[in-house]
Amino acid sequence: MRTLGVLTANSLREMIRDRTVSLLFFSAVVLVVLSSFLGSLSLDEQRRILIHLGFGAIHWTAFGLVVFQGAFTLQREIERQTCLMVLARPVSRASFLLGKFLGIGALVGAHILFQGALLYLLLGAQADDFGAYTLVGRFAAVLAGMFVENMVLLAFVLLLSQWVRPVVAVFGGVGLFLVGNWLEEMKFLAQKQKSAGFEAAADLFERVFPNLYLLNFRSERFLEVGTELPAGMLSLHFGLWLCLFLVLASLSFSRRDLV
Amino acid sequence: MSEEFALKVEGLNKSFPGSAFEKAKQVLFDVSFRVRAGVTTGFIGVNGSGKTTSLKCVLGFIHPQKGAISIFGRPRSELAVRARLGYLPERPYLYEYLTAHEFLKFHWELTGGGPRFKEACTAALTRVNLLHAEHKRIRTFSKGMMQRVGFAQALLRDPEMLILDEPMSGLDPDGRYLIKDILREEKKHGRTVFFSTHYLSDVEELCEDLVVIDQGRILYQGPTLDLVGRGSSRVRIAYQLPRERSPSELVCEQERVVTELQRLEGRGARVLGMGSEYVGLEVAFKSLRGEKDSGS
Repeated sequence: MRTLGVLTANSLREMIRDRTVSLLFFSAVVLVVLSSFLGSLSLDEQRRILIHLGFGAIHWTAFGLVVFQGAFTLQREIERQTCLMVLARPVSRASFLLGKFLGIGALVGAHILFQGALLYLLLGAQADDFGAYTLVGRFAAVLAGMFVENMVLLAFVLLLSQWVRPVVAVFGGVGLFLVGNWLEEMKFLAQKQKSAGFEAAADLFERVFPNLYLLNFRSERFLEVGTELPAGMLSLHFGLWLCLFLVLASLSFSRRDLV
Repeated sequence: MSEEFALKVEGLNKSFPGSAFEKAKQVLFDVSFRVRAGVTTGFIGVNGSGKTTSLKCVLGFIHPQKGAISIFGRPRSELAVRARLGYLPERPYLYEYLTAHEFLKFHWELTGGGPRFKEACTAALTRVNLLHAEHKRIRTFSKGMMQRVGFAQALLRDPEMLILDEPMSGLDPDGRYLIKDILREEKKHGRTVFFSTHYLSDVEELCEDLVVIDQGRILYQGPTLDLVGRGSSRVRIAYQLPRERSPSELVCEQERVVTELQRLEGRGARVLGMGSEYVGLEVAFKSLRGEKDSGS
């Protein structure tokens, strides 16, 4: 556990001192603040625009962090051979990979939390009926959904980066992000089309890919009225996907020759 | 130390898969060698001979298809055994966003932490002459300075065995002299050191034992002096003539030894000693590779 903590802290420190990460972070701040100004241009839709653009900015920048850091982190370590000195210590490859995962996860978590807090304040400042939109529980559920989605994507990108070049792993991550978020639409379209083939494909996709749309609570309606969330079921579902990707990534990394 | 051998490598075979139109390439062929505990052993071979691959197999970075490796009598795969090692890779790239202090602290924590970090850090950086740069970012370091921080990292925990891959490469003469000095000190303290290098003169100067590898096969392992003697086909005879105060020496080809001895006897000389002419490691190394080529 101590080793894991040291590796996680180092991975986090690496990213905090990375200029690209700082750039993404400040871009998100600008986007969230900008969404507040954009909202003020509209007469009735201020709140809706702020919610959609604000959460969208947090979601996309967090996804950017995950996909780029996840795809390049191990490859960079192997190419520069910086991992060799670490792995010559009493550190297993699984711990090394998990340390990277947790480091990136901590950064993404902090990013979502900070930007979320900023959006919360902006939303609070704009809402007439402050209470309905700023219920901490519902707001936290939206942010938690984003965080879990990004962790699943991170584990998948780490796994993919074992087999393919980082750029391809980035595309793989984007692919899973799109497919995972469009599964509901695909099912809906398949039902509308009444095509057996399309329905079978949609069904297969749902079984093969994690349905990331289940974690999407980013709507005005959810903040306003909330819904009963099957939190246990969701945790189990995505926990299993996360474990599967991480175990496979760890096995691949352990068997890999660090030439 | 209870174990006679700090490192045992038995029958390593390794091939790397080729690309779509290439066959797999075998780089290690039944590589076996041993490193005696408390002894400095040099690992020499030309570029691409398999030195780095062998070292990476020893440390578990590369998985051999066949073979067994034990460190201090324990299987290489045991994590605890690695706490007893200090390792420096070839051309070490370090985490550039860290300072030298942070980098050493990171490695200190990875090997269990403890309260004596400050002293250990100061001692390691002093040994590699980098104490002045303790709080500077590694990004600002020259290649030689990076090599020395890497070396400080290997020395940090006072390990029982140092495994160094080309520790002298990329260093200026001062840096090379410094590292050689440290290796001499380690040797004096009876630390096991196993290092690969291209500098044969350094090996000759520092190493009691040698492992020679060529094209993935071990050509020689044993005492350096034996190899240096074996490289010569000439014999050196020390003798003293009856009316001379100081002894003299002559060097002749092996087939002429009997004739020369008879000649000296005829002059009334007393033979003081006889042995293979010392030829230097470079000649011995070339001769060894030549022997192998003609044999195959």
